Amino acid sequence: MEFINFFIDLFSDYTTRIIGIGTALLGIVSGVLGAYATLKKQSLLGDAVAHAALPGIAIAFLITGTKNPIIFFAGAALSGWLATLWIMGITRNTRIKTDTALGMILAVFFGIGLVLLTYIQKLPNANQAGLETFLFGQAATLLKSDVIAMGIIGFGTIVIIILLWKEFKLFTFDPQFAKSLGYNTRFLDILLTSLIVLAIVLGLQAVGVVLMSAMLIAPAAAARQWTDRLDRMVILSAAFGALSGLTGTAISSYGANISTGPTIILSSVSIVIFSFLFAPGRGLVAKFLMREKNRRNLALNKVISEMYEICSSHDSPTHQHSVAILKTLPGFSYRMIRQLKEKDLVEVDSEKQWHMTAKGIKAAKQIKDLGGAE
Amino acid sequence: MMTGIQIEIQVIAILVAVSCALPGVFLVLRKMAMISDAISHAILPGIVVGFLITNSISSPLLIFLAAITGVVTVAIVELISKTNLVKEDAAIGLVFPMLFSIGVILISKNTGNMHIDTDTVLLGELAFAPFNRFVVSGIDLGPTGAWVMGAILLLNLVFIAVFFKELKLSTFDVGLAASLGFMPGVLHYALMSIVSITTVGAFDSVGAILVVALMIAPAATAYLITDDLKLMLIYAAIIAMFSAIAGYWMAKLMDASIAGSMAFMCGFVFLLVYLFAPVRGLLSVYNRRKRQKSEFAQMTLLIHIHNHSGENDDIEERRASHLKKHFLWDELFIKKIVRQALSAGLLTEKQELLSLTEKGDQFIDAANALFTSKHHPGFEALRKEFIIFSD
Amino acid sequence: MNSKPALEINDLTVAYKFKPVLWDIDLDVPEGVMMAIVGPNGAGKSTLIKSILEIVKPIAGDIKILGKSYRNARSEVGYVPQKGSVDWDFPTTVKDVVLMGTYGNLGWIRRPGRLQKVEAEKALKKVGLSDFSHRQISQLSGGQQQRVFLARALVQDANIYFMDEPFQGVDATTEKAIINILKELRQRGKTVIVVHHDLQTVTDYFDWVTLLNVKKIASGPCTEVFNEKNLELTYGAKFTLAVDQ
Repeated sequence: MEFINFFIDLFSDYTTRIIGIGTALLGIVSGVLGAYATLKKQSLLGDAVAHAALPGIAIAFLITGTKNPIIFFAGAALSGWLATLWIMGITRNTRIKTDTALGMILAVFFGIGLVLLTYIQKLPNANQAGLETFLFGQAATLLKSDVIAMGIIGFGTIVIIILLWKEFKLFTFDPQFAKSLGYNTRFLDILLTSLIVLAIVLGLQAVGVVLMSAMLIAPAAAARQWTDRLDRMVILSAAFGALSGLTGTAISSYGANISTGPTIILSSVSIVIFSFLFAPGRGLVAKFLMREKNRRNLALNKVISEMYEICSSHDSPTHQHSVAILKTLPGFSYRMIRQLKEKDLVEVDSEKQWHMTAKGIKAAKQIKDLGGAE
Repeated sequence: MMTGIQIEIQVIAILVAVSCALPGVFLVLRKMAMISDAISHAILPGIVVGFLITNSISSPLLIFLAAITGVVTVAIVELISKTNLVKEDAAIGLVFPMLFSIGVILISKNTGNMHIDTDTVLLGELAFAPFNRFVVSGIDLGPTGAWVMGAILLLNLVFIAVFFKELKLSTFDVGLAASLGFMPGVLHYALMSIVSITTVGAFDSVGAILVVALMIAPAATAYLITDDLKLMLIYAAIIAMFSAIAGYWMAKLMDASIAGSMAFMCGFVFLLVYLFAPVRGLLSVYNRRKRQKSEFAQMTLLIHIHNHSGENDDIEERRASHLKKHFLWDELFIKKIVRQALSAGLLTEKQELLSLTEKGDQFIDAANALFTSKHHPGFEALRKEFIIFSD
Repeated sequence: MNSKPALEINDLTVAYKFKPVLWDIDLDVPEGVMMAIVGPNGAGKSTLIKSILEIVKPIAGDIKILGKSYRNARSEVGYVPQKGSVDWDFPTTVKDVVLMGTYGNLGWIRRPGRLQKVEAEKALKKVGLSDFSHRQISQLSGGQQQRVFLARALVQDANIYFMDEPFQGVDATTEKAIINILKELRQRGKTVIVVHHDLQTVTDYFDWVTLLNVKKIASGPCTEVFNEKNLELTYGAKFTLAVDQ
């Protein structure tokens, strides 16, 4: 397939390398901060802040008249930041709940952005395509300067996370205990939320507004299925983010010829689905297999108990019984006889007569002691 | 004098606004506001498939398919939530981008056949609505958008009117609704279908984002004004209508996006109510808090004096200058509170010692009752003067 | 006998949106006692603990712990919050949570090292959870989760401990484990203050009690203070105590 060429070109072609590093960076930062966002139950903040960034970009353009990505980034971040403050304010000061505040700010801010943009388009140096990139992302147009800027911001973000690792872990898990230890939880909250806002605005370039929420949530959701430790979850989340970024960009620019947003998101959602199904322990397949195993064990135990009852009604424990009797037991199958034979709990001779071994009787007694097979 | 087209646009705008605001009230009360955002994006694949089949953006089949996609979205979200592998809000944030991405890819794979542009789907443009006419046997009956939205509005009104008490109960007390046989689960999906249909219908005119704004903002604003469900629906509808009209004229003035202006107006009205609403507005709350704070401090002071008077008379504790030691209030605040208590006739001061007056005793009795029971004869006399005793 | 009280509260008033939760509380608790705080729901018991630990800000009042302000006494305080206060699905292990108790003394940025890990292991052994140290916390029963919080507080190596309903909804093993630890703490001269939900066991487990219902009804040794009259005042209902005074 053509998009394999992307991965080959990653090493040989300059432009591809730039794009690759860029998307990987975006994926990493989204993955890392997404872990905290989902753990803080702020998953949909990605959606809200992404939409709320639009007026910031429009105003930045209005004021400076240039299409400098750094200026846009600053405008978007500021706008997103204000939106976040306002959301928190509404939930804190009124009886309006978080989801309503998120949805309202999202739509209103975006609407304001639309108004500003359409207003700007009357001016001579505006560009309609700017909105398209904002809506759907376009990692394929990343320049070296963009990537360097992203790299610096991304690096700074990760350094802060590493330095304040235990503080963020404690704060996210048990903010009240953190407060009792003397940590300034207000400061930690604002700092962490700010980093999340930064990650969101950064990620916008890759996937665009509509899809940003998944960019923040998917790598973390997938990572959570594979580990129970925060450090591994964050690292895995970063890896998944980078992987979906690269894969999505590869498919988009080399294969399908559409914007990067949808392909990146579908890549990361595929990883999520795979994780949901096949992660050991937590995954749905694993759970299903475990349930089946338990069910079969339970049925087997019940049969053993029943067999014991049959044996006990005779004087000698080695009294032979016909296998045919067993057919009346609920849940019985011939396979079970084989299993019981393998476990050395029962002996069957060539005339289809069986009796329980000493080991079998002991097992049956144990099952009875534990409260029966039920 | 407004032109015919201007009137038509505003009519459509009003129809869209009210159609959205009404189910929006229930979304807000059920804490499902973000579902509206999810549905408005997730129905894209439904629209695309419908368009591929019917080749018309206003065909009922398309609306039907898209609405089904909306309901399916909700179903998938709930399925995922049930596995407990992620929380519900995370599930929402995963499902709709996935569906939207599928939709975008479908579009780009069929660019030859499509006349929908993702921009239009997301943003809509009311200005173009009048150009799509509903023509029956050669007679121009007006813009299609108006007919479609009119039908949807009727549907929403009927649904809410017929199932009002069931909706009300299942919103506030799911358990009771279930035990009374109201099938809150079915009702829930019916509501989601309504939201889907409304979203799809409104898409053509105003796009995804304004649908979200119209569903949530007027309802949230109404929520700050009233406790009564019926009134909330009415207020939400009125606010939505107002925002639509005002937004339209703002857009005309600025020559900007109509949808964006309407969304802005929704937000602006919310802001005004958020700040200035009579009981729940921030300004009102701030003033009340200030008064309550001072009355509360007076109460604390009086109780303190009371505890150290009579049997447990403690001259040290009743000295005004001593208060700073244990209360940890600053000097100015103490002086202010003492002054307020004196002028309210609750305390008297003699030789620097504070004592309770009869009114002060009454105040304390009422205060004691404040947290043991809600009724006390003493409240009535004091209720007008001190807001801390009113509900 | 030390003259300095372990806990000294004066005129403490706490309100939530200007509805009183705690009102003009005066409290003196001597060192080395095991004290229960009892009262009906909404009486302000949790709020009292949270005010002492500066998690909640009071409207008025002065609190001294071991003669100092909380800021200065922090390193000598241990806290066991209600187990319902966190999301147990959080990706962290039992040992990890217990290590969090050492964070207070580490200050900013520094990570727990060998020393802290040894302390954590010792605490886990004390509560009987050594075998569980690498389990993810959602895999624990309610009682085990409570013991994790207890171990975390033990690691704080405090002189005064505050616990919020530690016996609520736990199994018999956990209850026994907690009691043993409380007894040991008491033997070492520590002060333990516990919000307790079960009136039946107050005199079994504690020697001091504070009866609270927004105001302090009474506080002192159980023998003096835990009687029908005070219970009636606190709970507003008639009480008959099965235990003799």
